[in-house]
Amino acid sequence: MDGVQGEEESLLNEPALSPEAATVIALVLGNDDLLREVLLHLSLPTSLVHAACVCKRWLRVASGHGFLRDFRSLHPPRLLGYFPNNTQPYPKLLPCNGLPTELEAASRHANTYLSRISKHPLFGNYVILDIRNGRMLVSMIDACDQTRLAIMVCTPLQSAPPVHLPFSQLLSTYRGINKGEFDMFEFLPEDGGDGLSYYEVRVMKRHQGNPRVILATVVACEAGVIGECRATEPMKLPKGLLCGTKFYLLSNDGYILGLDLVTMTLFYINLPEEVEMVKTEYDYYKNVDLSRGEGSNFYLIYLKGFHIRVWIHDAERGSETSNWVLVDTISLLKYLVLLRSCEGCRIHLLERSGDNAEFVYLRVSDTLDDYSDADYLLLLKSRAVEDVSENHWRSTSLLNPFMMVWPPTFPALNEEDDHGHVGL
Amino acid sequence: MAAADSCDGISTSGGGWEKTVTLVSSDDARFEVREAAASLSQTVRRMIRAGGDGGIPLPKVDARTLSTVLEYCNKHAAVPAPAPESSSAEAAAVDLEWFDKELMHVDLATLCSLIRAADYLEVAGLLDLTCKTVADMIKSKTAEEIRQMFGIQNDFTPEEEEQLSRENAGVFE
Repeated sequence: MDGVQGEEESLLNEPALSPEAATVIALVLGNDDLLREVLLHLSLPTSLVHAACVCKRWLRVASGHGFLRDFRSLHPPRLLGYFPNNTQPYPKLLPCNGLPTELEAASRHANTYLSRISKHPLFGNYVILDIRNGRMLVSMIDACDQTRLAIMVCTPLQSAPPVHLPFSQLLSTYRGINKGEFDMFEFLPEDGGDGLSYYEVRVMKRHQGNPRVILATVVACEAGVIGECRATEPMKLPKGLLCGTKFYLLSNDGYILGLDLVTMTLFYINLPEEVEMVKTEYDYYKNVDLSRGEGSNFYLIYLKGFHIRVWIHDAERGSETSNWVLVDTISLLKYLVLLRSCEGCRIHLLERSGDNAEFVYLRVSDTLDDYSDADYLLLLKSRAVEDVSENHWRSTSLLNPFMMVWPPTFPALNEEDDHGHVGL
Repeated sequence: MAAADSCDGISTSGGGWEKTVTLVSSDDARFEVREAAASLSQTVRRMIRAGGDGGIPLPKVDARTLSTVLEYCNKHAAVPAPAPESSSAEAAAVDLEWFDKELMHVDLATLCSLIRAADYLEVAGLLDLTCKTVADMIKSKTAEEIRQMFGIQNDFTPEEEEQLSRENAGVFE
C-alpha cells in the first residue's frame, strides 16, 4: 500500500527533476548532517516550521534539541515591536521598522488577536504586567481605585483565547490603599511558562513602620492554582527605598536588592564603583537599568553623558559581593548623529531594556524646548539605531518590548516513527 | 597540464612566485592551484601536509564541480587580511559578495553537488554559502512547495497532516 501511494506521490511531485538531479539532491538532503546544515541557514523560526512539515525526517532533524540550540544561537528571537502602555482600548503592538515579511505577519496576527479579545465584556482597563516568550500577563483593574478585577495570560502569536488565572484578593486591595508602602511585581516564568503560571513578589518597604526594614513576600500561581504566601525574614537596609525591576531591584540609593526565590532570602549588591544614580523628575527616566541575562546573571546598563557602559553581574561568583565585569562601552555621539548638533541635549534610558542587554530605549530631550523629545531604539550589539518617536506613545514612557517566541511550535506526532523513515 | 609533485609547482599568478599544488578530480582532470587557495580546503591542507607525489587525488569530486570550488577558493584566497574600516577593505568585501552571488547562479543539482564537494573538501565558507543559498530557496515556501522542488515524498498520514495544521495555528501556520 505504501508503494502505491508512493508512486502516485512521485508522479505528482517530481515533474521537473531529472533522475540525475534527483539523485544528487537526495544525496545532500537525504544526509542528516547536510540537511541540518541547510536548515540552520533558515533565519526565521516560521520558515523552520514550514520545512519541518515536509516529511518525518525533516521534522525530526528540525525539532532536535541540539539543532534548536544551535539555531537559536545563530538566530536569536527577534524583537517584533513594543506595546506602549498608554490608554488604548486594547494593547496595540507597534512593530519595528524593516521586519521580514513573515514577522510582519506575526505582528499583524498579534494585533488581530488582541483586538478580538478586547471585544470580550470583561475586557476593560488593563495593565500589561509582564511579557515573556510570546505570553502576556495582563491585569484588568478598576478605573477608580486601581484594585485588580482579573488577571489573564494572553498568547498573541497563537489563536487560543486568554486564560483567566486566580489572584490574591488581599494583594490586589493593598496596592490601592497602601500605595508607596510597598512595591509589587508580577512576572511570568522566564520561558513564558505553561500559560497557567505567574509569580507575584511584594517588597514591603516600611516594615512595621520602619522605613529601613524591608521584607519580601512571594505568591506563586502554578498550573492555574494559587499557592500560599511565603515571606522572608525582615532585612535591615543600610538606607533607602526601592524601585526597579524584578528579581533584582534597583534601589534609589546605589544598591541592588536581590531576592533568592528558592531560599526566600534577601541580599543586596553594591553597584560598580563608578556608577552614580541620578534622581530625575520622572521615575521612568533613568540613567541606570538592569537587564536579564542567562541564569541568575544580569546586566547593568549605565548612561553617563553621551556614553553607555554595560556590566554583567556573575551570580555564580557569590551573590553578596560585587562581581561586575565591564562588557561594553558605547559612545552615543558616534551613533546618534543628532547629539552633535544639539547643545542642550539630555538623554535618559526608558524602561525596559532588552534581555541580555540587547537593546535600550533612549529619550533625547532638548532642555531648551520641552516639546522636542525624540525617542530611539539602540541595538547594543549591532549599534543600530532606530527612531521610534514617530509612534505617538509619548504620553507615557513605559515600553513593553515584544519578542518573537522560542522555540517554534512543532507539531507533536502521536505515532512513533519506529521503522526507519522514508524521508526521500 | 604537466604532472608534477603535489607540492613543488611554482607559478607567477598574483605577481609573485607562489607554491602550487595539483589536484586530481574523480574523472582524472588535473588542476594546478596556488597552495594558498587549495588550503582553504581543510581536506587538501591535510593531504599537502601528508605529502605525496603525482597530485592530490579527490575521488569524490568531478571536474566540473571541482573547477567551481577552485574558482571560489582562488577568489577568496586572493583577499588580503582586511584592514578594518579602510575603504579598500570595504570595496573588497562588496566585490566578494558580488562574486559569491554570481557563483550561486546555478541549478539545484549543481548546487547540491557543490554542497557535497564543500562538505567533503571542508571548505567552510563555500559550505556556508551553498547551504544558505538552498535555505533561501526554502525559506518563503510552504511544505508542499518544498516537496515539489526537491522531489520529496510526503510520509505524513492524513491524520498527522491534520494535526500539523491544527497545532500550527497562529503565526507558525
